[in-house]
Amino acid sequence: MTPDEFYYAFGIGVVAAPAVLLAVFGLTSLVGLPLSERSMSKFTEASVVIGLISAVAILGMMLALDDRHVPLEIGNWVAIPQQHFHFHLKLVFDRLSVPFVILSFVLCGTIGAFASRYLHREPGFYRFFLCYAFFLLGMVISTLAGTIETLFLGWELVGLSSALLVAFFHDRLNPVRNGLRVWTVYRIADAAFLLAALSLHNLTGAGDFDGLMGTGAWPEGHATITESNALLVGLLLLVAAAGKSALIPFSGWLPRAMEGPTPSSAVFYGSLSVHLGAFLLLRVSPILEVSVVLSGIVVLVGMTSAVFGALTARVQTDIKSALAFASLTQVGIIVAEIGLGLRYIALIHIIGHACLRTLQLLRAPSLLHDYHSMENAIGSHLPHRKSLWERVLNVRIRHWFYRFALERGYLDAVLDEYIVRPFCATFRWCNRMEKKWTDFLSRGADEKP
Amino acid sequence: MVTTTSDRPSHTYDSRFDLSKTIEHAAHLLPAQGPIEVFVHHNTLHAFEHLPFDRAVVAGLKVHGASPYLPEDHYRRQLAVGRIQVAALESVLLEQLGETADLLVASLGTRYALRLAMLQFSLRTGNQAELSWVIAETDALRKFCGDVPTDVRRRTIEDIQRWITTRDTRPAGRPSTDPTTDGLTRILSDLLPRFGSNSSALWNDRQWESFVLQLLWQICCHGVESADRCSVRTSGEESESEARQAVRKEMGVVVNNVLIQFCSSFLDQGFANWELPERSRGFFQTFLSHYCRAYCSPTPWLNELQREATRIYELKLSPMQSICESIGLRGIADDDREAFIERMLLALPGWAGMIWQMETNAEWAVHPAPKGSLTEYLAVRLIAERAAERAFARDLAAADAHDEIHSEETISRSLNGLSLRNRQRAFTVFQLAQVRGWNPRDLHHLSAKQWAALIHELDAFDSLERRRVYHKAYEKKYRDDTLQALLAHNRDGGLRKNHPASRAVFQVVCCIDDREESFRRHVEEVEPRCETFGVAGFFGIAMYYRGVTDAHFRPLCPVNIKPQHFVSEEPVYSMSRLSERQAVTRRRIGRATHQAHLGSRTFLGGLLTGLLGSVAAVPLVARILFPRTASRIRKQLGRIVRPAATQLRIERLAETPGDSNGQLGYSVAEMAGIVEGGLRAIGLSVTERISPLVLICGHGSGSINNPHESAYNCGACSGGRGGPNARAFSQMANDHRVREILAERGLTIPHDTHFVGGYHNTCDDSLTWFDLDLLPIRLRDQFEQAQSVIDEARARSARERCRRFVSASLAISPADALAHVEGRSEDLSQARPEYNHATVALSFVGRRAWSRGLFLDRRSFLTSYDPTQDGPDSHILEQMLRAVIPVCAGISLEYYFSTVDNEAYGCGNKLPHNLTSLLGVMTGAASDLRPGLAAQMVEIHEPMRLLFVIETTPDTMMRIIDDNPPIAQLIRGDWVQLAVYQPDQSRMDLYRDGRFVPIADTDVRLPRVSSSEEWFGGRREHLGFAAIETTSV
Repeated sequence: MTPDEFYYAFGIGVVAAPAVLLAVFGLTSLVGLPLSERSMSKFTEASVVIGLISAVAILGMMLALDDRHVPLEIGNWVAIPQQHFHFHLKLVFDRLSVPFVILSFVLCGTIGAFASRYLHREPGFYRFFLCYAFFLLGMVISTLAGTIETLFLGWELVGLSSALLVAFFHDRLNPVRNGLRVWTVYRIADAAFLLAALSLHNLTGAGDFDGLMGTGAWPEGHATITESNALLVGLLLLVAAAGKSALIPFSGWLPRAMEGPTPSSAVFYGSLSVHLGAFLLLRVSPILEVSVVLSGIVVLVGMTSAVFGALTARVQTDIKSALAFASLTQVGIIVAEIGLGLRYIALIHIIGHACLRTLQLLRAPSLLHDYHSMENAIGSHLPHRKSLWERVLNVRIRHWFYRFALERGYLDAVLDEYIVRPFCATFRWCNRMEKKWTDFLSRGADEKP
Repeated sequence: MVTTTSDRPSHTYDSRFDLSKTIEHAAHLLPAQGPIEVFVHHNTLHAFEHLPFDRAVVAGLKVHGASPYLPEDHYRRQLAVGRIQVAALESVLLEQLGETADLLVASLGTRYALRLAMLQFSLRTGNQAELSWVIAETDALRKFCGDVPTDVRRRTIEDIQRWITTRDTRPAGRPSTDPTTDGLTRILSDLLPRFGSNSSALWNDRQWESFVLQLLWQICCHGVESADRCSVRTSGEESESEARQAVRKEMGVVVNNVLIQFCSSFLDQGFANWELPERSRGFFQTFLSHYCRAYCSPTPWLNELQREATRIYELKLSPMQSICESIGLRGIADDDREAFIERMLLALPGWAGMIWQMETNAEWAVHPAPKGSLTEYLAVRLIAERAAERAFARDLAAADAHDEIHSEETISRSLNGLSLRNRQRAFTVFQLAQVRGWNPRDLHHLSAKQWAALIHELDAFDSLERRRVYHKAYEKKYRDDTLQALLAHNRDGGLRKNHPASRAVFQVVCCIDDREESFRRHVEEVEPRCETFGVAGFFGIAMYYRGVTDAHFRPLCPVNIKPQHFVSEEPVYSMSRLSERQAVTRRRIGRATHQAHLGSRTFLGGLLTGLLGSVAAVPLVARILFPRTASRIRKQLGRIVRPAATQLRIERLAETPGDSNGQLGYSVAEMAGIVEGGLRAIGLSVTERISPLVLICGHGSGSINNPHESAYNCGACSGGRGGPNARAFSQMANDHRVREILAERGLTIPHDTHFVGGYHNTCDDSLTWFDLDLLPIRLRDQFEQAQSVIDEARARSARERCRRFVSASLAISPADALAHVEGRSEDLSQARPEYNHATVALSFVGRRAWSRGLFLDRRSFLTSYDPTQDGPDSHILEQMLRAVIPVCAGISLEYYFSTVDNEAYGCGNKLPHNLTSLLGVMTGAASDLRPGLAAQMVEIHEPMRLLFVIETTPDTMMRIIDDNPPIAQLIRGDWVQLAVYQPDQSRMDLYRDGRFVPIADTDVRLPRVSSSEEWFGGRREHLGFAAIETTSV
């Protein structure tokens, strides 16, 4: 076998493993033969191990053969020649996607093992693992995507499973509410993404990242579009990334996403899906390079989110919200790094942060235990030192900041009041008008007694 | 208290005194669980303990909206599998109805028969949609229900067949003007055409059956309707419309969100980096000063809140004044005030309860709440509610407008056919008629009054009443089984047989905890020549204890005792240098950990940890995929910085006890008192019976990633671990000066006896022994033998526990079982490290001899007590019961309530729990605090009131009940069940309605097995009693 065939085989392995997992989970329930807990966790384990081995094998071959860019075509699925549109699945293995896909497998695998015990005897066990399979497939596809459509496919799978998992405990009100909120934000991000994809097609005639970024392998590619086009597409992609990564002004959903079972919160909002926006920006980083304005805006959004996250994390009294905002801080910094062009640092930062945060979130219920062992080691109550802020700022301003942080920057309140409410009011008005109109029309025919 | 204010019918509500009393009164309805790190089991419905159980649970339903018993279908399933027996239902019903059992209901049968039928057969009911679906889509109107006996079915059908075919000849003597007959004719004329009226002779069986049922259904509907017409109509309550309710719900959500956020910041015990500024000013002032700030209110709701807060802040109202003002503004009538305040406090019961606990009961906490915080909270809540009313006025108005449009539809819907209530009633009668074999024609001849009587009867026996009967029958089955098993077990001289002929080879003293039952049983099985005892797990040593690596003293004794003595663990003298160095290292590591803990959530620290964070992948993967290995490595590392050998500072030098260095410990006289009390309590006070080796085992439970960890520990040590108590007791009992004093008091401990303290971890079933260096060399062999017996026993006990864990194979070997439970205790992802007290149902107080060799399935507290060594006044028993009854009842009742309504009384599903303020858990991102037990802790529990079996005479027990009001309250109020047992005479008496009733031996034969494993092997369900043959001495 030639190296290309090996690449192809392993590449298929990476994608097929989660796809088969999803097919098995989905089909068995469709035909009414639900799997047992044990076999579901075995299947998951097998799928992750196969995927991981394939990914590592590709990494090994790339290192050995000094390949830096391995594209894999998996066929044209839709072609509309008249419209010059074709949807083809294309995977790219390069310095960005390989570490990311390995990270996804490692974290998802660990979480899968964790969840198979944690959710034991839970009525939603099956549902969880179905969503998990969706998520894993989505993560793998979006990280390996070689075209913007492929990326969108994975992106949607991740979004869908994330929102469903926030609403995992659907017999309670809050999870469903918050799940819906996450879903709504995701839809806005998706809309921006689609617009960006369409514009890219318009500009370059294809959704391939190769065409867009020039020929160099990541991160050395150079975009071939003009600065103003880059700004437009870049801004749309930034909105998409901001929605997915809970950057300002969408940050409100992140702590709310902590409604699901701990493992899903950990892997999704703590580590993987929250970094997906940053990943998108990394993927299209050549575009950022073209426009200084765009880079500036990315840095600004990133830094604002980071500062906001750091500020808000300080007043949170519950462990999961504190970790959510701590995540936001780091994601903000990562986005700023991307804006500054520090691509390798951003990648390392993502990987490190994802591992650390997953561990912290999984151990969240140990908080009291940890506090006790720290107290015991130190031999007294934990020292509470006044932070710089508390020493420097005067009381009024500190109050203001405290309140601002406690209310989480009023982000949700403002969005609800000034975006959602008028939006709903408009459509309610339309509804009323329609009713009146139909009443008016039908009155003659069907007079009520 | 000034009488004038309380006596006059007040129009102005300014009697503050009353108000604070009202608040305090309402506060007792709040959950009484304090910070989760000291979880103490207690009766969830403590506030209603002065009422009898049956009334208290209904009060709980009214106040908390919580279910008093299990859901009805659960009981029905139990009935189907024989866990509830029909005979038990009959006897409970007869007992409950008494004289009225034979009352005839509408000539259809007796009240007793009617109720029994309602219990025995599963009657379906449901809401509008469900009922319509059942009637339209299922076979309900085509086939008799499955429960109906064939002959009843045949009789009914044949009767109708005869009647239809001959119906033209009207029964003589019945006037044609009879309205009922007219009604029947109408029904028939409606119904017959559908079946082909002319050819009824040609109908097949299926058609006949369907016809009969349709006829029956129509008749039931008519009957219910006629009854409804003749009964006095009560005007329906003016209920709020759906749209309005939705707005109100939304208002509740925004108010709660603000309060949840603020309460958690106010009560935070040091988790948040930034403390709530000016928190020392109290809840009310801090809230106002926070919420009256300008530029902080971008939405109408926050704006209103700011306006209101500013106004009150500037008026300088006190919390009390503000409450009075709010009540006035809201226009609450005098009589409703108490209910109103209760409702307001119960809107967020968890947080309000925690404020109350932090204010009254947590002086030891880092940040207790100042006195009066609950009142201040109430004041704030009322202000916030008012602001929300204003902010949402617009939406409420819109909702009303919306309703006007929709009200037409609702009216037309309800007029169409029977009301939902009547439809449900008709369907119940319809089903009852089938199972009871009521003839449709007879039903039709009932007068409207009789119908009303029938319906009244059905309504009176509603789901709540039915569940009460089911529940009693459910308890009765287990109670009868237990009492009969005890009688049977001791019928052929079990007591004599189990009495040790000579000195036991060793003796084990455990806590009375139900989890120790299997351990003790297996020890006795492995070594039949040993003896075991049970005593409250603090072993009479009420102390504040500080371990060698601990920062603070913590109480190790029941919650109701305030310890006077302090004991600390120290490194042995020769190693104190090394130990100091270790302490310094520990401190450094601790500080570094703390920094990392905080730093990873900040901006710069987070950046650094983020870049280096990939290292975290190693512990992440290792701890989840290989929990046991990872924990071994961590323990090895931990050992480097903790002293290898320690001792207890137990002997006090100073006169008075205290927490400074010289004042630690007990005087020799105090020690003697403790040892004497302990040994006499368990009946180990006869010199010849004390064996050379006495092992004292305290217990606790170690699990990780479990906020409820302390709930798994020893209840007698207020959620602490009882190892140090066992160690201290042994040390005291080994002291020769103590023994001298005891000898003077007539309790001689043999010279060759040595006590060894130990700690039993009930989660991983490990046993750690203390101070083995002090063991005399001559006892080493004996100790090693005992240890091997205990190792075997704990492996078997682990195997017995594993049968309850679905994730462990039923065929698991004892050694693998031990590995399995070890893995559980170290697994981050384990939501059920152990099942704790789940399944507990019994509490035996008496000599082990009569329960030894009886398989109790880890369901019984076992307290050792020897009546033959107690004085005539039963002083020892009385002392013991004062602690045992309330503690055991508290545990069992907490389990009861958390099981019957896990959402309202328990803390729901554990998986989305979120630790907040270092005080308790919320569900998800933001919710009320959740006290109580998690669903994962109680999933295998059978909620029953604890059955005490106490070895004493009815008269003695009566005397103890009379003399001890706390015991009397629990027993007279039926919060626990009680039987007294005199095994020497095979006499068992059950406490019922204030007196003891003898229980007859029904000559049950117990299954005989050679070992526990033979009985439980391969089975996961609750097991019955069995006699184990090998364990007799």
